[in-house]
Amino acid sequence: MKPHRILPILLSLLLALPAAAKGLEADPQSPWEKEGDAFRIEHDGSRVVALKGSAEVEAETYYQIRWRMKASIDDPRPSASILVGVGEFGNSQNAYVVADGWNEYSFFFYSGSASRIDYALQTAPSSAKRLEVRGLSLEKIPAGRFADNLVPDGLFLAALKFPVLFQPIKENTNLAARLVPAPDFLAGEQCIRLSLDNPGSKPSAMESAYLPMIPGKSFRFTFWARADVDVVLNNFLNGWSMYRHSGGHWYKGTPFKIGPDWNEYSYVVDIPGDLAVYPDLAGRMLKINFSAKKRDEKGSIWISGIRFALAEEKK
Amino acid sequence: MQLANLPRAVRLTPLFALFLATPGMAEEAGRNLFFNSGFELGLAGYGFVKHLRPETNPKMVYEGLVIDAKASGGKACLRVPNRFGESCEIYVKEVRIKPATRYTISLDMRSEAADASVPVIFLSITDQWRIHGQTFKVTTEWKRYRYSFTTGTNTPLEYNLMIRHSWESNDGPGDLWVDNLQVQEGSETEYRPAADLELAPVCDRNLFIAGREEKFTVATVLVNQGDREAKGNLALNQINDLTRERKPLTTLAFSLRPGDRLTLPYAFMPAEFGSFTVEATVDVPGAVSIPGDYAAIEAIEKKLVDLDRTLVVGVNGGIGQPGYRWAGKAGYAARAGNQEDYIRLLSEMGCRLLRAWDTGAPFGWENTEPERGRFTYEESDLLVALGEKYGLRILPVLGNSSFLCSDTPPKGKFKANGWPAWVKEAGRKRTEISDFWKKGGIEYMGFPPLDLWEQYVRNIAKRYDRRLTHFEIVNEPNIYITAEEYVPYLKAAYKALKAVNPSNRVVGFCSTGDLGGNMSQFLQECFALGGLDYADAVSFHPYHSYDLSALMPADKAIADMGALMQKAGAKRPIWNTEMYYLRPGKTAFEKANPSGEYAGHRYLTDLGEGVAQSIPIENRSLFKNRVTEYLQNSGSMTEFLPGPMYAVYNACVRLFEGSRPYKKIRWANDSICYVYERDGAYTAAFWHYGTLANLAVKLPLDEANAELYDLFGNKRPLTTAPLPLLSRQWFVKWKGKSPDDFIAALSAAQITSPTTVSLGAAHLIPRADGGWALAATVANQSSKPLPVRAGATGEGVVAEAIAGATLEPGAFASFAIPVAFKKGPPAAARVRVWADGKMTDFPVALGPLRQTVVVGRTPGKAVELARLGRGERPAVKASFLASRDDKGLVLAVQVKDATPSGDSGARNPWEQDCLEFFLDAEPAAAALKAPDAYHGRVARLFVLPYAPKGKQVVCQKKDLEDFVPGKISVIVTARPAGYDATVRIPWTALGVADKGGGELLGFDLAVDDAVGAEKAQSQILWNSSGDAYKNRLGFGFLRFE
Repeated sequence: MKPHRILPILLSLLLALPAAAKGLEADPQSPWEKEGDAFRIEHDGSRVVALKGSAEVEAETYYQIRWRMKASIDDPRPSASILVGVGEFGNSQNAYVVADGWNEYSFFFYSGSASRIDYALQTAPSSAKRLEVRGLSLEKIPAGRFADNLVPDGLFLAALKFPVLFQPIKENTNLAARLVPAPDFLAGEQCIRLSLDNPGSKPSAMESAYLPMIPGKSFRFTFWARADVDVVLNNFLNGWSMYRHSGGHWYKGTPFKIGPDWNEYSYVVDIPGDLAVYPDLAGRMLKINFSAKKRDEKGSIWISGIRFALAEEKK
Repeated sequence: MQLANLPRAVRLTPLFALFLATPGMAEEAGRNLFFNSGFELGLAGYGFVKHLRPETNPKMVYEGLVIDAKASGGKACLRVPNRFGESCEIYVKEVRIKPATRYTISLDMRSEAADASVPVIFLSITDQWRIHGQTFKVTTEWKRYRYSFTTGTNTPLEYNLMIRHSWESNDGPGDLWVDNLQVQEGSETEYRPAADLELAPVCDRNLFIAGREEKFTVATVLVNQGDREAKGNLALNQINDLTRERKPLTTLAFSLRPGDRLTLPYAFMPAEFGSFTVEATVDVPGAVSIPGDYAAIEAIEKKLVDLDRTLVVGVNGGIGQPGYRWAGKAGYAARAGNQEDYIRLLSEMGCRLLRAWDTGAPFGWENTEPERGRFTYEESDLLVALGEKYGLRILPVLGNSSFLCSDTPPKGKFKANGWPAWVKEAGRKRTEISDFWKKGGIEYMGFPPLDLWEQYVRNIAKRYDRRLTHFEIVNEPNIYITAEEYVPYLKAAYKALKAVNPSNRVVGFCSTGDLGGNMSQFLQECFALGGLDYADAVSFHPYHSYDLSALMPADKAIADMGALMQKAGAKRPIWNTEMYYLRPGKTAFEKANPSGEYAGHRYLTDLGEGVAQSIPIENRSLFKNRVTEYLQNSGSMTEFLPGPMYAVYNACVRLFEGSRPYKKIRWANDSICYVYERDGAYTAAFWHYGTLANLAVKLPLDEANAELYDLFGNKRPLTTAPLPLLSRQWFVKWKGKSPDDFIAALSAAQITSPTTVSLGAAHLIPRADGGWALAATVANQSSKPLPVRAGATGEGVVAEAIAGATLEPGAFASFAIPVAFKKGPPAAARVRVWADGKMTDFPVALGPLRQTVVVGRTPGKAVELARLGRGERPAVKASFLASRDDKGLVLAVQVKDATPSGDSGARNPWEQDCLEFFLDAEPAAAALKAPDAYHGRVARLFVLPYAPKGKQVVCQKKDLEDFVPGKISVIVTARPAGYDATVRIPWTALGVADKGGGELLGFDLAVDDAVGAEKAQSQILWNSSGDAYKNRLGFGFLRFE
């Protein structure tokens, strides 16, 4: 009997593909302090103070800025943000929810014509707390990652308490998502629980940081979910510019009826390549948004196994 | 696992437990455990084997046990009639006793002879073949005899009491009487029966033949041995031995005063074919009973058939074992009847062919001409005559296995092994034989002169001219002689048989897969020597391909035989002349006695695949063993109760004898459907041969166009509702006109399963990043393409990714699931598979992590071989360094061994100083069955440091064509205290692409150590524990940077 070959793994490890990471220096703005290889700040939550720096980049290259961060208390509202200036593109900012344990954070960007970037990892207006940051680095995203998974830790293997890739939407400043045990799922030990018990008319939603994509290519988006109520989860791939919007707005929204048992939801999206029509796509980034409509009853949606990668080529 | 798939002994255990578990029967110290110990119920619970002696009993009269009124106590006792002075064994129904406990056996006996020597033996197989016995001198007066013993430490313990009478050669004729048997914990107390109320249902016969008999009665005998009235209700139930289906028969009221005996008859007509246990229970506390038995079949007209035209039901067997010392005096073992009764029983079943083997081998030279010119054909004459009378063709095995010779009788036998002494003296001897045969008492291979051999064959052919039509030449020669040694005897036999009668048919080769025999290789070699010119049929013993689920499926083995013949340029009918082990199992008994449907599987598969004759089983598998159920050896079989296989074969004869294969339809989920044609009518047989449960099949057929039968040939309702698809075969007779419509309907069958996926196997393999992955083989059991996703979970195990693919129906694939361990690998985990919207967990054993060496361009640290393969204190030490270069793998081995083994001589590579390299080019290969078995990309390399140049390298491989000595570089340097070897294996030899890193090989290294010219006594290994030669999952890994 001829043995069959091993089939490719669909979802990658957090650190599946090695990449050459470069440590980033940062100039702490008081009251940020440097302690050894880490930075910390005790702040009252009212000010925005930053760790600033700049770094050389190669043109037309995808990058990931990584760091580890923790706070002295859990806070479902963003406690930190990163502001990155990428040459002609301009500045982009992303906010992050911070837990009282170390989590790994990412900010992705495409360098375009830039040869240098400026960055500022800064506090966000929130409750008083201590923040610590270490391991700030910059690395190129290898081509192989596009076929593997562009979502860092889509199985939440290394995450603590919050799915820190996601932030609250502006309509609801508290992140409605938490990490909870997932003993009944295929992999990992945790999954996101998106609570459907927001007061008022606020939708339960979360939005990812910007993730890389390639205009003109097809990508497959996959996630697993289950729910304990009758619910439609809207998924939105949003091509709105991470810098300055202009021209057409590319997005793809897909509703999914979520059942009581874990199910895989997956689709292929063709990202337009015509930058004249969709100039926002020149930044080569998009966001993933999950939201569920206003509910009259409480409930939850559990989500895991999030993957975004180049679609398989049709044979 | 279906209950019906359990070994018969285990399946019957619930009834046994009933016997012991009846309220009040809990074993108290001092309680008598023997059922019907005073024979007040007649012979219920007793078995008898008598070895008929032709010299004193020329008419082979069988006189069985008798109930006699001249008891020592009570109204009845047992009499053992023995006017012919024959060796007898009386068996008492098994009892279950406690370990490490003292028991006393006591019994009353008297003898017709003045001073009879009577061994009384308490025997157990489950207690490690322990015997507690004593021989008594029995007089003509009733006297009580007793002895005590302590049982072993195993639990549970099933024991039989066996009383031997007139056993030894100097024991003469005379009857024996026995009464009031007792076995009790502790010391002997006054005799008491096992219970106040004992009962046993007795069927008026054990075989009911529909169409011939008009009445059937079960008479339940009850005896009240207490001092109070026993009053209640008797419930009779019938249990199908195979399906375990229970049906009530009747309820009868009874009342017995103390001392009364009552017989309650119940007459009925068995409504179904099959094999049944009749269970009698009463609502009286403390009562004990044993069941009765019967089988119901349909009458089969007895007739001698043309074996060239019709595949018949055949079995291996005979009418006695005069050569074996089962009896103190040689005789023909008779059980509940004589030899004619036995052959008649086979004939009633529909058996048309008896291969004269194992229960006597009467056509062997040592039986027919023990001294030159003195011919003894009594047994063969009797067998042939009985065969003719009852419509059984007899297939003689000329030559038996008589090449296996000794000059002294081995233990337990009357005669030496092999040819008659005069033939051995005239012939050639080969003393170079394997240890396996030596341990079995064989001293040499004996080769008779060909002219004498030819004369022997001619003698048989002449004596039985036109009475025997087919002759098999030698049993399983491939496991003890070579093709070069065999073919001349085949040729001479062919010549002799055809000279006597040109229509004699020669069944040649008899190549076996048993005992490690390489069936195909022997056939190939024989064919290359022109063997097919001297055979009219080719016989095989497909032990390694017992059915469609075997690693080598039965149909493939048959097809391979056909291909071998085609390659040799000739086609011959294929005969399956032996395959006792219908299923895998722990013991020979288990393997030969699985659930009855497997006999049908083999018959139907052989028929469906175009095999000309199918004679797989040994006749004893046809029968139940009620009295000595746990004493699972051939000599202790005390009765011939037709069991499930008997009834299954009867159905096969009725429905399929004379059929030819018409179509084979392979269904999903390891299920098969064969269609046969007979006289213009079409019948399908289908079953599930895998291990899945709860399958169902939906057939677009109904009563208008087809009829449904179960495996016993009972008609069942046929609707379009799903049928359970089990290992028990179904038969469908087509009533329509066109067989094409029948085939279309069967091809459109839908197999449904509550589980759409199954797991074959899972094992850990290293990842390129230094972690581990669980390689799991998952199969799609549904009838549609299925997206499958796999992960893992368990105590201390986390899957770090989800693997998966879309599998076609019936397809399987291996998924590598990266896993992380919290505290080191646990012993077990669960592979979790998602398919069709459901999650299913499959528990898997993980085992210890296999060692991994990271291989770069520079050799790392030397790796010691620290595991022991064989031997106690090996004197050899070894280590290896692994590296890679541009071309492939480089291994440098250093061995410290102060005792060089010198010239190889006739030793196998592993029997001398040797390096054994084991390589698996696809360590994560998928396998649904037997994942540890070598696949085609596993190879072995032997490096023999002291062999002559040019013979130092031996390669064993299957699909890796370039894994040959010429392509593998080996440099060996001998030193005073050992030797070194550098081996270079190119990627091309391993069939692996050089990726510059990330490659993974399964690998192990063994170092064999022999002292001088002796065979190697010890072996050390790197990763496995000595079974690397057959278990690729015992290898470690080489992971290339």
